[in-house]
Amino acid sequence: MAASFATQATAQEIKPGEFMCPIPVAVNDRVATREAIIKRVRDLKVTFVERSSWKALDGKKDMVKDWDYTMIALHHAGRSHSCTPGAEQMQEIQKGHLSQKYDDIGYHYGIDCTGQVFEGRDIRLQGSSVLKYNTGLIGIVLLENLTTPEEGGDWVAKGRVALDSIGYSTTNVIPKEQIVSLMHLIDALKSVFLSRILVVTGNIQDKALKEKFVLATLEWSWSEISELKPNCFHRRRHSNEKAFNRSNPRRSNRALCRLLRSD
Amino acid sequence: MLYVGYYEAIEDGDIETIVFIKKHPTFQMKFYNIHANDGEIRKVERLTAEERGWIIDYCRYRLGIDTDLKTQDDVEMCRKK
Repeated sequence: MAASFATQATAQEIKPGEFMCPIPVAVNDRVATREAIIKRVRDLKVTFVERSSWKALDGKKDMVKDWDYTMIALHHAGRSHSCTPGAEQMQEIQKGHLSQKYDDIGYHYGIDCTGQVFEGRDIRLQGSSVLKYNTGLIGIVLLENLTTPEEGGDWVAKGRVALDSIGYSTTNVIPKEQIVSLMHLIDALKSVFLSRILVVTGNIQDKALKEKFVLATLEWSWSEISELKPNCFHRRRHSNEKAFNRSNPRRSNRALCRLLRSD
Repeated sequence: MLYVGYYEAIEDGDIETIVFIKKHPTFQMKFYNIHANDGEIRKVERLTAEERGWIIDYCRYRLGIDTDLKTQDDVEMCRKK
């Protein structure tokens, strides 16, 4: 249901024969902005599922508010996820986050493999997806497992590495529908929030691939994006990558992201 | 049992269990490190009584630090893994 928008404008006197100057109308209503994002996404022919539609539990009262977003962090859902229905995955993630004493699901949006966009934490509230960097940051989770074989460092990882070595790839390919919806969602967010884009990438060893990802993201070239390996999409874990690698070699090959600000 | 405890943390989207040796004996085995995940560091003035309890317990039994959580530095000190 559409909410009423709060607007503000200055009246202008018009004399006969004079042209009317455009009157700026400032819309300073966060409810309206949230709805504008949803409408924009739907206008781009993407299915948008609001919280109530996937039966989200209520978040904690009096959560920290946030606005004026300048960054977007892309995540994947982790090894326990796969391309299953998005609503169930969102419920599962929310349940997991609440069990860890989050105030609500940590991500602002989720996108399943069919390209449906799910509303997570209300965009008016600060997310919880990148430790120490959550202010001004929108968290988006791709609802599937996009780990590389070696991630985790356990017997599952060893098995995957072994399969990989004999030519059997266990790394999931990002569905094109998901990438297209991601680009549309980011376009919608850019239209209301972002004048500059901050890209989060993983610790890709291949420098050329990393540069390709950054360039592709900045130019929003879907064909380029869809060619990327999934280890582009990881979470930032620690601000000091080198120290983290030294202190925790088991995870040294895990996603340690670099934030690259575009010009 | 008196000296072994655990808490859970979200690692790359998955919930993992971290087992540790307690610094003091207690029958409590499950602890919460509410800063083990990707939320912001909690502001001391916004902590609920329940959250304070979790942090104080974790700090005492996991880290061996007794604190009343009066300042933000106390919260920072107790978020170590």
